[in-house]
Amino acid sequence: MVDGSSDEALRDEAVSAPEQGRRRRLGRARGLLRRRAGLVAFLAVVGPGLITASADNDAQGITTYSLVGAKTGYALLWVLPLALLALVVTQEVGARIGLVTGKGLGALIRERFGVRPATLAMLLLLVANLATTAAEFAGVAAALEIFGVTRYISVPIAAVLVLVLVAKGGYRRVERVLLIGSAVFGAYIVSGVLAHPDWTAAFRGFATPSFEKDPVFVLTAVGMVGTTITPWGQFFIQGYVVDKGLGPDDLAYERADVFLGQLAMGVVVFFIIIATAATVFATGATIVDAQDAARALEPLAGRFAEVLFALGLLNASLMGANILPLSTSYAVCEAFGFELGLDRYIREAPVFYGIVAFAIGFGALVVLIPGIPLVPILFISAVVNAVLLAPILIYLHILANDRDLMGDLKNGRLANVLTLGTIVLLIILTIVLAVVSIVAA
Amino acid sequence: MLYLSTYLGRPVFDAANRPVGRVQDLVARLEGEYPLVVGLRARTGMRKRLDIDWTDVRAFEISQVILTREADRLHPFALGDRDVLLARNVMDKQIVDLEDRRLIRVQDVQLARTGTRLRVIGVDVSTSALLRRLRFSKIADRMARRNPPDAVAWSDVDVGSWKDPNVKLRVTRSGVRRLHPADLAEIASELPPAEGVGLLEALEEEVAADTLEEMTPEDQVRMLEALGPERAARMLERMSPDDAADLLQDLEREEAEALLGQMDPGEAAEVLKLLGYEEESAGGLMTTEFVTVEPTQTCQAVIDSLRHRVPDEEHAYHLYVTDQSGRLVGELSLYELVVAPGDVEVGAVMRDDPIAVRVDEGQNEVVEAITKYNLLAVPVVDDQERVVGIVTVDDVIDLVRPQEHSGGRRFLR
Repeated sequence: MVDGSSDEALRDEAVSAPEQGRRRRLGRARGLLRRRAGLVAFLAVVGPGLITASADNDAQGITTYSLVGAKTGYALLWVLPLALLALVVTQEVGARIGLVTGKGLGALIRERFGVRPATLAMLLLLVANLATTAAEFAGVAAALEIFGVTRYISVPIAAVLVLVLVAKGGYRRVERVLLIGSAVFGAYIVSGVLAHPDWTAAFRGFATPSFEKDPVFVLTAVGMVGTTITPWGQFFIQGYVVDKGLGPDDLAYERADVFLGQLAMGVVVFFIIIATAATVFATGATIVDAQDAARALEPLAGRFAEVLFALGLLNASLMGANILPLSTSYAVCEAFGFELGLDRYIREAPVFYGIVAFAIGFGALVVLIPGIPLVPILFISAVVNAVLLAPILIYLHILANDRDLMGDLKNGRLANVLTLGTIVLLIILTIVLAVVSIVAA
Repeated sequence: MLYLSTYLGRPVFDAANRPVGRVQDLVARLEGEYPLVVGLRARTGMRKRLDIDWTDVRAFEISQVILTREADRLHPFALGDRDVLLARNVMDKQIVDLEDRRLIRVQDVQLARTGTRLRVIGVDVSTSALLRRLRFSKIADRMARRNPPDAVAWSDVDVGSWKDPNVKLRVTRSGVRRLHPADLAEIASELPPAEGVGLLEALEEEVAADTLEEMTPEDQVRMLEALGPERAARMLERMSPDDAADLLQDLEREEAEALLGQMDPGEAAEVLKLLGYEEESAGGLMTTEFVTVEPTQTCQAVIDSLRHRVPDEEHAYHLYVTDQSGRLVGELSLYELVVAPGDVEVGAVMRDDPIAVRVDEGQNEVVEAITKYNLLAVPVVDDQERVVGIVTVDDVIDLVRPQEHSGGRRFLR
């Protein structure tokens, strides 16, 4: 979806003759690879799932998982496998729809449901993504405040940097670096082990669901789900699969890609929660700013923990700040029929670049409101994502079951049960959250 | 202009005034350049629908659709291989322009009544159409007035059939082309008078004037009378003076004078001057829009001033060189101008003895001058050799091939 070199036109049968030739060659190359060896072929296809999973550990994700560990200790670990299962299922459905139709989610919602339901979907996406973009800039601010840089300097610079990257088309090159940079969070695995967590409590929290009527507990659970499965993640993986030019033949590899990507992410998340629980929750402390969250890395990095955390958070924030405005603009322009793509000049695609600039500007300005606390922005945006996700998943579910669209690759019973289960769960979570908040108020 | 989206969801009643369902889709048969609507799909209940033959449709209005028969006695109708469902297969789909891979989305389908039948004439890809469908009609109308309607003529659209649900629209190799005024003129002429005027009124004035120019004299008169004097006068102002003069000549004398009185005085004077010439003379054929240059101007200066003025294309094939009293002293073509070195004066590269016709010469002489010397335009001069107008080739083609009047302009495109 955020691909500068290719173009949406690649998705269509109606492409020019040289383009068709290029595609045939691509197809042949892929066929060749498949015959050669499973592993090589897998590496050719791998990407969308893994990249979406890495991007999922953005500033919002890191902060939210840290808060889960800090506020509830090991008690909410049981939510993780459920959220991951739901994530794998919905990402697989999204990737499969992309493989079969060659179209992005925004385009399909417009074509299948018409202009007004598409507008509703886009409004939901816009709200969720603007909140998340603000969270990414809050991440930038929090990371650099560790080094003593005020947000009134760091955030405007970051916003301009991201704008220039997008406008000058340098985003693709940077994306790789940022993705590799996100490997920094592997440090949590080591730190989590070195922190000597209470493994019995961790196992109990992982295996036995527990629940409390405490609003903070419910809010934390909702935020955890909301940062794991996101509206933008659905649009992102489908768009990425389409941009990579993958077809139905790649389904098996793409499924493996999605599964392995989310599994790797799940492991990291597990240890973020454990490490924070063992270092922050165990001492009865709370997370007010980024320094507090960084303590989870102390068992590994000692006095460099804050530096390590700050670098990881900055990396994750910049990645999210790049991906979210672009992903939003792709979806909206695709749905409404505005010209789009990073290979367009600004005057050719004014709406496309306008939405990107608006999202960046909005996100940055929210963080610059004097006195606004950063951690709550990061966390509340995750809750917003959770609340707005269910309708998007309903669209996804209907598309995945449309035989005209999907043919034999339409949803099977398992995928349907799990998607519907996720939707029902999200709705219940939202209602519980609303009730608990009202009672608490 | 009629839009598909405004009819969807409207109630359908049978001959006994019993509700049948609601309009879900229209079926168009892909034959000819502007396909006929041959059927209507009504939604009769949850997941239930009824396909109705268009011959069973008595009234197709925005408020309601009324059938000619009772619901249980309708003609059976099934979609054929060349049929397409306009809402399902065309609307909201994307168009790929093969030339620069520009992606646009079909925001609405344009329809036009031709007698009792309905034809598909184009797809609207404009943002104003999108806003209209989102019920922001006021903003949409304001936008549509400011920008000409961004529509693609149906003849430029490539559609599969209803059997291929993933149908993609593809604008043929010539690329996205707005609905050309000649297409609109053709469609407007086929419509009943009120509908034709409605179509013209829905267009932006500039486009409407171009459309009017493309019509046959009889249709022009009919349209102008139906438009009412005020709007007709605005329309005449926007037409090129020679076309306006021709049109006024076909009207009753009082009517023509009334219209001239309503027009902008400057524009009216131009037209009046042309009206003074004999209809079948060079003066009657010519237009007063042309480009003159002075012999001492450099070629580069001329090119710059052309770029600045952007004259209508058919009026700038030839540039006429005149001295200070306006006397025609030379001529050069746009090509000669472009290939000449920029710092050379026009006087050095122009042709010294230009072909010209006198204002009172007959149309046969004009035709002969143009055909004999293969000109795209010939200048018209008065007694003092001053240029007063030009006759362009498209004004005389109708004289050369009068028997193909209506279809003849097609090969100029």
